Amino acid sequence: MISATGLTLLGKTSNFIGLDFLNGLLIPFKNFNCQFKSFAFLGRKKRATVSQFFSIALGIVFAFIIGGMVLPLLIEADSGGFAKITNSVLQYFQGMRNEVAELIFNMIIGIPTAAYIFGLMAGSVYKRGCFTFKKDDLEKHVLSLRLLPAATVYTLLGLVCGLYVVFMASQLPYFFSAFVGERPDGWLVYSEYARRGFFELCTITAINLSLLAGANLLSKKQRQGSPVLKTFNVLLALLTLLLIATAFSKMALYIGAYGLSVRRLLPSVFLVFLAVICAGVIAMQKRHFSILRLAAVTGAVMLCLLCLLNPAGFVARYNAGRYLAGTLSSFDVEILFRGGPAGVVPALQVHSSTNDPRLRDQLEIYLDNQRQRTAKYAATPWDNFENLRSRQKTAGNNRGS
Amino acid sequence: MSDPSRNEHVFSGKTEQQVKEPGAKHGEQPAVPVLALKQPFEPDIKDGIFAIFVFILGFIFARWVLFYWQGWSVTVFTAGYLGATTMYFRKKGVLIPAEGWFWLVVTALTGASFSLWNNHGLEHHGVVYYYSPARYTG
Repeated sequence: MISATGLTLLGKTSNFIGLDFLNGLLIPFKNFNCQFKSFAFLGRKKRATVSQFFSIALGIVFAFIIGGMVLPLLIEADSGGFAKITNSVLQYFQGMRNEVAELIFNMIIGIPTAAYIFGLMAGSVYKRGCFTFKKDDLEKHVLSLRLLPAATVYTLLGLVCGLYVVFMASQLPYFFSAFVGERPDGWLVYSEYARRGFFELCTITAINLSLLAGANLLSKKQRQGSPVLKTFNVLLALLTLLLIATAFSKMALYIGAYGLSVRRLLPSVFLVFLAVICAGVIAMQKRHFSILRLAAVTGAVMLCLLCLLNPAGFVARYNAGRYLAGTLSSFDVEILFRGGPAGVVPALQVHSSTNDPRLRDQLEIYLDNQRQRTAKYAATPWDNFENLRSRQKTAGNNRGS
Repeated sequence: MSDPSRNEHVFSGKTEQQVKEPGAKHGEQPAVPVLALKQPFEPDIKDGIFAIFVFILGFIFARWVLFYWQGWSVTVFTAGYLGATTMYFRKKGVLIPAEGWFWLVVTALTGASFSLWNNHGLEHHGVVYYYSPARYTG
């Protein structure tokens, strides 16, 4: 809404995206009563129509009252045919009565929700209450943050880069053994080695990106006029890329040993996102663009692809493929359970191929579980293609329940 | 460059009339008259009809989406929300810029994914992610 109506602070997604976002949160509240005013306008305009509507509604209410009095008498006098018609109608109304409370609750929740949506749209179109932040004021604030002398920033970045170089050199066997697919000496468990190193490296990456942002924001000397700051930016971004590559290789080692899961896939995707940001930081030293705009667009595209490409299904297919190919020693059914019906097709493939009776039992429990779970959503607004396919595939799998 | 925060100009979201106006320079005419910016909200018939449609949307959201966030109901709500937004903008003479269309497509695709997959393990990311561009861009 903010972007579509050109209400972003700089006219497009920029480094002020956080404030644009906050503005988008405030606009609906500043225009919360607009929907009610629009209803009132309609009421004024269509007084005759509204009056006619109420007349008809009143007629319906009276018909219900008279019907309530006459119907029992008619049923008593009926020889059988009328009861057939009325029973189904009465059953329908009895069923509806159970839903009335829920409908009223939904309507109550729906009123502020609609007012919020309308406030956002009308506020954006009419430009009412949209300018919470002023560009000039913000730029002044940003300039006032430039407090650190260039020498302080250079010393800080230089020392930190030096520290990383020394640390990496001393930890070469520990950090980089994952690249060649080996555990370093002293580590017997893959998961312990991969996990510990992985989160250490992710933390350092986050610190480095914050440090880069802070140094460029707080330095009195701007990046454009400082080749030294540009060099440190590139150096720190390169070191961070090296750390990301190491973390990625550790995760690959872990996945190679134990298979894939959504919890392993998401950090890997996040590492790719961080790598794009670091590459962006390097490119920024030559070209002028908003790094947060790059982050927003990259993040949006990556998450959109994740949502569309069914990661849980991919994980299940990957693990089943490797298990059937003999490159994975065991097939983790727990991962299938966490992925819901996404793993039904791969589970059926493994079930028909494996001779392991224990695994077959586990898979049958999983398939039964999914059959029951997806059956609950049949013909409801919460159903989807995956549930439908799962029901079709497990239809002949009605065992034990 | 002009500054939207001063309420003088807008970069995008220009009115159709503005674009068609001969001699109108790019990004130099306000989409809405400056005087109107501080006036109270004065709805017209389009706002009235849109208010009714949004009320239905709000009800659908409360009944099928808010407490579940799964299934084709989310896709239906997304389609209704985005359809209503674009239609309202068109009727109000606001042109959606290219970047606005990008975020709109991202929201539409994310909404569509709910009728395809359950995306277990991605639910919370999906909801936050769906909600953010919907508000940012609609």
